[in-house]
Amino acid sequence: MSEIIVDVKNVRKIFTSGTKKERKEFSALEAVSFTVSKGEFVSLLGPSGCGKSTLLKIISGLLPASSGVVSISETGTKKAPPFGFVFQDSVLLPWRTAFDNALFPFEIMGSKEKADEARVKELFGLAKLNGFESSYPRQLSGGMKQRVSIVRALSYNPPILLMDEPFGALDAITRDNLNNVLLEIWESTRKTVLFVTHSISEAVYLSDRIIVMGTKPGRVIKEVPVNLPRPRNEDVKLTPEFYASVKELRELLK
Amino acid sequence: MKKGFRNYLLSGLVFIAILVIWKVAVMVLKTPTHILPPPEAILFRFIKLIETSVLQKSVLATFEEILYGFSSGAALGILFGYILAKLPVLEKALSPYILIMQTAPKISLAPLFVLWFGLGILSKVVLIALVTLFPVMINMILGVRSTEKNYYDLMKVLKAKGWQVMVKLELMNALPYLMTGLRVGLVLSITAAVIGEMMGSKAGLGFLLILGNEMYDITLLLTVIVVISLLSFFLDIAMKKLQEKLLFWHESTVR
Repeated sequence: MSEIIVDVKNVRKIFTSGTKKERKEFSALEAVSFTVSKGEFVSLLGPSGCGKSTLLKIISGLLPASSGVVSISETGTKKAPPFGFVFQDSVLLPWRTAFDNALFPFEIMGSKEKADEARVKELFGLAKLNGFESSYPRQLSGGMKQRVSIVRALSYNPPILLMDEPFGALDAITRDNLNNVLLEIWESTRKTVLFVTHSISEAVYLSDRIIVMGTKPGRVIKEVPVNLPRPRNEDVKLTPEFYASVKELRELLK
Repeated sequence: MKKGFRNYLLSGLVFIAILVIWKVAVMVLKTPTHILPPPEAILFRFIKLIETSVLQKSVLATFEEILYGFSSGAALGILFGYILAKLPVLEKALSPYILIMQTAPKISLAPLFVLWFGLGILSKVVLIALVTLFPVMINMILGVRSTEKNYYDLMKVLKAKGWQVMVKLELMNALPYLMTGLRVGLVLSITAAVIGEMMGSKAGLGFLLILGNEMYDITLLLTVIVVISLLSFFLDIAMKKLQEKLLFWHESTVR
């Protein structure tokens, strides 16, 4: 495919615990390597404890790797990181309105242009949040809060979007809705997305490629491409190809 | 709105009932005025104290002490609280002393402060600052510590600077806790001011209490007690309003 944007090479992560005398080591990630190309939607799929969230945190720089290299060819600007990060919880500041939460990155970076505000406004439309700009987080449902946090992650127009089980805490119906919202946003912005999930069907529905991970130690089992046509909608979930992918992944994760 | 009005009406009726019982009790039991004066005596004395501007001067003196003592105590509480929250080692080292200071009745230091800092305003300001410091500091520590890790991660992803994390996250997050601490501190401040004045002073509501006590003037005592209660009441209401204004976004203010 096209140019490689995220390159993960031999990343290991060892957590140590206990006292200095009796140090216990726990290998969370063992020699993980993969790449993500520009504009690609890639999912990291695995059971809990496989280190997929840890891996995403290493890629974003929130955690250091014990060894190995992560290179991101997009540099971003000096003030803004090259990626937006969506957490499992929305992590909205409760004292700010939805719109001000979405503009929060600009306040941290200390620069905001007129075009930025216009783009956030547009993203609000894409995320179907029109009319909720001046609502406070406590007035919003879980799904809406998560949509605001996606808008915030995209507000400064980063080329990459990192998502750490963003819909894991939502009910199934809201989750399906947000999957569609995310697909729409992705179709119109064509960001490079790295998406962590433990839901097989979610991974198949959204991704171009799925990196399947296993536990003890956390490692990559296999990379599985998803060749379902785009743009996708709910109908694709009823096709034999979709079932075939889900079945293959389920076998891999057994 | 209607319900609120009814509540006020009920509270008002209770107040009138208390006055009536008081009045009837005084008349039936024929208690001498120097033991328990009738309620209207309090009102007359109140008016007289205002006419001679004794009350205004006293309230002002007490209020001034509270203003300086409370604000300096609160400022120090916020500062120390933040520092201790960010330096767990220091907090651990100091925690037994903090606990002792926190549980010790600081009011008992009042005579000592009068000896050290004199009969003027300073001894009261120091005492008030001390009683305000602890609830503010303890709540500040809790408030800063309660900032969830996710939010620090968000700030880190956005490459926030240290001062931005402090101002835009930690202090805002601590605000609900801080306001609770400030409210407790303010109530304690009033007590500290009055006790401090009673221990030795030349002005203030506590000074009037001592005066009433020494002259066996029960009417003066009761009048001053009513004034002190009203002062506490209105200061707490002001603080509550401020709290609601600042914390409109917080669960505690959701009606």
